Amino acid sequence: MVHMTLVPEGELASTSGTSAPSANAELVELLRACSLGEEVAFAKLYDATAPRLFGLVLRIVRDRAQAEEVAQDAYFDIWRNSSRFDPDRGSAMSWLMTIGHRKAVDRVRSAEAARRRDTAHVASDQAAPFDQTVEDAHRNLDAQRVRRALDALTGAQRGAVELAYFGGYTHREVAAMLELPLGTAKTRIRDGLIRLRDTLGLET
Amino acid sequence: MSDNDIHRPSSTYAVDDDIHSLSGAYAVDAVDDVERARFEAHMAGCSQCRDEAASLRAAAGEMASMTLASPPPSLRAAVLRDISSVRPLPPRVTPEQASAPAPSAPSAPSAPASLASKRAERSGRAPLRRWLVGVAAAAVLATGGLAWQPWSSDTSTVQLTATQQVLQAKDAQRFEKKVGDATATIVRSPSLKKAVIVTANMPDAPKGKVYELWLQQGPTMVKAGLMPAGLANTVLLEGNAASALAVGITVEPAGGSETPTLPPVALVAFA
Repeated sequence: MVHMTLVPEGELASTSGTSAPSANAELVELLRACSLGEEVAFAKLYDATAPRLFGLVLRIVRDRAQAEEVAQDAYFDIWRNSSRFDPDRGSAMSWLMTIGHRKAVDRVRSAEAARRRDTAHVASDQAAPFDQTVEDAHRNLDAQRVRRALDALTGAQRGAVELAYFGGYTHREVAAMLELPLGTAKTRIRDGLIRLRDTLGLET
Repeated sequence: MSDNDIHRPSSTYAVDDDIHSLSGAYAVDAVDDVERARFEAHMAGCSQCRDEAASLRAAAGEMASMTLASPPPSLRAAVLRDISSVRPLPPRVTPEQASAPAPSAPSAPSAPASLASKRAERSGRAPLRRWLVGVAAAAVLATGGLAWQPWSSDTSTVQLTATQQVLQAKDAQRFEKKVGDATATIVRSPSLKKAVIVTANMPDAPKGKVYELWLQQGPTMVKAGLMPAGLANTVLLEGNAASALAVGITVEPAGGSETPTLPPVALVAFA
């Protein structure tokens, strides 16, 4: 899990970069244009979101080559399904991340990929991807805001949420890894996410 | 993991957990295929869980801001190349918006269920036509209510499909079989006398072939439908699953066969 020393943020923490309503409106507009087949809009959508989607996928699948495949696949689905995005049901960024996350999780769960990931993991000694990630995250106001919100979670909740979200493990696997009774990890994940949501002030 | 049957009958599967509490795990994809199918079936009739899962997804998505990474320029080029040759899917059109109900299209949510039960009553006649209907119905069951459900606008259907009923049944039992990377999980409800198969990572059947499903009734394998193409599907099996001893999956010529081609790809015993 990414542990980083926090720089004091002061008033910066309340601004919310890409999650601001105007940024969402822009992405919604781009998705709508995509649904009408406008490739230029899709290129703009890609440029606005790729570091976040690719970063998430890379964090989960770890192997760079595989992460590129997964992200490519995700963007293909985003284009194909752009008309199915419903702005009343959540933000555009959330929709994009949902697609990228699901693809990445599916990839790590296939046994073949897991074997390759483990080999790559040992071979590269987990060097490259994380350094880049951490460095970028420090410059990112959203990240600071989210890290602060995560501090509102109990350690147990945070551990379960991060294993599930970044590790790609099921709640049953998380329970086994943390030696929790079945059902406890599920509850921790839910409680942790509720607290994260409320601390971030997201609408329900 | 051994290649032998891994059938895990767990009678407590459906009752031990309160389905509502799965919203968080669902929001971060920390569920297996069957839990996902069950929760999505549940959400179709529970707006509270639908809203909660969406809000928790939004919260989880915010965490992605902590892991930014620059993709290589080659990825952008590949992505733009991909989309240039494919048009976006049309928006979902709900049956209400359709000007006139097409007589042959199974548009109503309940249609697949009634089709399936009618087919179960007759047996063994007009095989070709029957299989075509079976494939159509299976395709509807497979896509209705699963893909992109949390975001689509057609989740207000109150009437549960037969598939949803089985997945949510109080007496649902679960049996799982792994073959290589592929997983087939059977969820059976003895009280409903129905079973649903949930597949993941299924490789395509060889060209010109299909996967056919069978219910073993006593010593006989009885046809139970065809799997649509695709890595992951959720399909209601035709026939009485309560009396069946096992579910078989075989590879058959397109259209299916009257008798199973052996050996089966998988045999999942209800035991």
